Amino acid sequence: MQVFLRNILLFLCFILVVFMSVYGYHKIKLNDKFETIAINYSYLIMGDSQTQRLSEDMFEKQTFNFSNTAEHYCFTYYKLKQLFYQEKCNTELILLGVSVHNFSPIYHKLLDLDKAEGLSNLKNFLYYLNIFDNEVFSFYDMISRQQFYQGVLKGPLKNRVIRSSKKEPKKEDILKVIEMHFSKDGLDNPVDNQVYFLRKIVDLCKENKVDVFFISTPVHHQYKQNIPQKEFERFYKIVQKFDVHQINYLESEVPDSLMSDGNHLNIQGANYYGRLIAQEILEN
Amino acid sequence: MFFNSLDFAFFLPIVFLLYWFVFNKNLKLQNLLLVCASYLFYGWWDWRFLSLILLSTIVDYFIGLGLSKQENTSKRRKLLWISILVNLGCLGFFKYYNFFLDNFVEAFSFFGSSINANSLNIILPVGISFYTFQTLSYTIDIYKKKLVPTKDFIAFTAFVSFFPQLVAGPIERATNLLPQFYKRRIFNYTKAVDGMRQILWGLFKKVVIADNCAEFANLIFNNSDELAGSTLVLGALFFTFQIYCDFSGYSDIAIGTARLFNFNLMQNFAFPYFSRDIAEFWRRWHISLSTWFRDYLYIPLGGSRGSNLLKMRNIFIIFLVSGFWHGANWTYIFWGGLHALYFLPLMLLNKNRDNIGVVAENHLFPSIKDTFSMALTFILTVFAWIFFRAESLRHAFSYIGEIFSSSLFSLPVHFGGWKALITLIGVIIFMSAEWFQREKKHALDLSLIRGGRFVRWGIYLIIILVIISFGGQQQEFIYFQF
Repeated sequence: MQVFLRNILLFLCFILVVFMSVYGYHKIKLNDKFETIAINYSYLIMGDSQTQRLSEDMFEKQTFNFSNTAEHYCFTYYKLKQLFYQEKCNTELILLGVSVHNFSPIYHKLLDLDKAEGLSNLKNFLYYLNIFDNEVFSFYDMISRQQFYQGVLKGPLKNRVIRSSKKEPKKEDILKVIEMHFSKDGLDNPVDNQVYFLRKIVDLCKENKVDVFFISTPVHHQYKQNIPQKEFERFYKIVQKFDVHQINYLESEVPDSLMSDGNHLNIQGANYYGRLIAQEILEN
Repeated sequence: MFFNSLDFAFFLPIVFLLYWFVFNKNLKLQNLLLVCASYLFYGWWDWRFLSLILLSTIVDYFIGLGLSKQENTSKRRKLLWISILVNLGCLGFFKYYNFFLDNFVEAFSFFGSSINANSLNIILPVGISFYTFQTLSYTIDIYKKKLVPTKDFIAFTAFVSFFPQLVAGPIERATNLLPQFYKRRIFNYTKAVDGMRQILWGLFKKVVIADNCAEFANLIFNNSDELAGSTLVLGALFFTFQIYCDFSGYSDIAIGTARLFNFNLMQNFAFPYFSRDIAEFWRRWHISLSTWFRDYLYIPLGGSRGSNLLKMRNIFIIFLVSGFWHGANWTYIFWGGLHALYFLPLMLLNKNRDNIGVVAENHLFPSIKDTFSMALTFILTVFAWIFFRAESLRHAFSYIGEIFSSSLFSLPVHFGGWKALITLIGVIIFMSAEWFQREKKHALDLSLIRGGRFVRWGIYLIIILVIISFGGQQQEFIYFQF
């Protein structure tokens, strides 16, 4: 019996060592990446899949697109925290994607570990969190989920600009996206945690003397027409509370040929609006 | 409580430590611990249905004692019938009430008279089909004087509710399991280690193969009207591996868990997809159920004795009842009937015991004849699974109709991309592992492997990493609904 228990414990320790080694390896590599970004890039594009479309070479200074698909502001905040923690940080400007969908119910689910979206985010953004001390997930809640271990093995999310050649999206696909974003699905107060972390991002940037621009890339006219008007009103109410530069193309009439779906630009759209955004930044 | 849940990951070590370190001095206390653990395990799902298990336990315990004291044949028969009626009555009410009611209503309306009858909103108690059959085997064996009834109520309660096999089998015989509760149990290192391996392999089957296959099988079966025949064939294949890995995975975890407590449960699956004919398939698939029906239904009906007509009747009865055991739906009955049709020619030609041993024993690859036989048996099995999985007979026939249309020769539609492809590759790797280990009790039996602890630990580590990395979305065990 003692031999059996000893072997079980030894094996569990062996597994633990394997996981800690993998975690340590990825964490060191990620820290190196943060160091490189902090030293080499003046502009950072941050946000979710909307800003992930924007090409880095449109801008006057060295720019890095640090956005990830379905990124909650909480993870943007922890990314920035790690970035500003670096000994030398040359970051001057953060271009942060802010749009009407960012305050929709789907973003509430991204931090809920009882929802598939939350579990997926735990897996994807695990390395950007301090697993022992963060404001969103408790350590014990995280380690009791399979996605935590999947996240450890998978390593940090890679950053890449998404270039889509799709155009003229169909109405039914746009409606599906709206349903996905805005279906309340039993959630009472869906916007709180996004606003909370948006405030923390802005404060953190101010503390570190880094400028912030809110960027709202355009959306398809069908998307705009089919979202409840009160969602737009709420969005404007939220962003007005921040003393931050805003570059807003939500109201612009964008041709269908520049959109890959309801709320994402395709490669031509990203190039076109990227240039416009770069121009506005120069002017400001 | 699911075997693949975190709750069970805490529950099992606690029960294990209490069993071997706190209650190890006293057999009765050990049995009592198993009863408490089993009731907690079951009550975790819904404590109200513990009363059904308790009812079945009390009734069969006292009927068992009554049968041992009674020599009068007609009174003995009455006692047996009470046990059968109580057990099958509960099963019938919870599982089949609505089915019979709906079919009566439909039958009456078919003949022009309508009757008003409302279906009841009945929850099916998990595992009722399994523990009912287990307790029935006890009273039937006492009635046949094959077993002496126990006077130890705790041991009997532990036998009925033993948590590793309570909700999805293997359906144990009292003659095998009950005596194990009377004997002092000493920890067996080799058995416990192999039990752990079997648990790990069962988890791999369930979490990696079954849960991933389920995703695509559900997608395809739920949208079968819109998909091409070639995609539907893939759907049937995904379900074939889903149901095997789901159920045999559960059995592996159950048998492995029992071994940690030094109990031996019967083998429930013996690599059934390597069978060379349907008779062999049924000797390798859900062995505890098929042998139960053989011993308590088929043989009492006359078995393979008598005229061909009688043999055919018996075969049809056993397969139809077996199908109906799975659920209150015509699809299961049809599935059973189809297997009876597959089986009949073998029995009538006296070829049903041609393939008894392990296929290609002591050889790496099978002969051409065996390969052909295995492929044919596999195709017949896959075809029958379509009825088992379909929502209704109409759905099954339209599914099969689409398979046998010209769209069978089109390329399968894109329905999961690389993930579906990886799942298929995973199934091939899994089946290869099963093939190489087909002479063992389970595929992760590494007792003969050379290279020492680090090789074995390396294999365990790889399996654990695969479970973590490629585990599908958690699905309930299919056989919980039976």
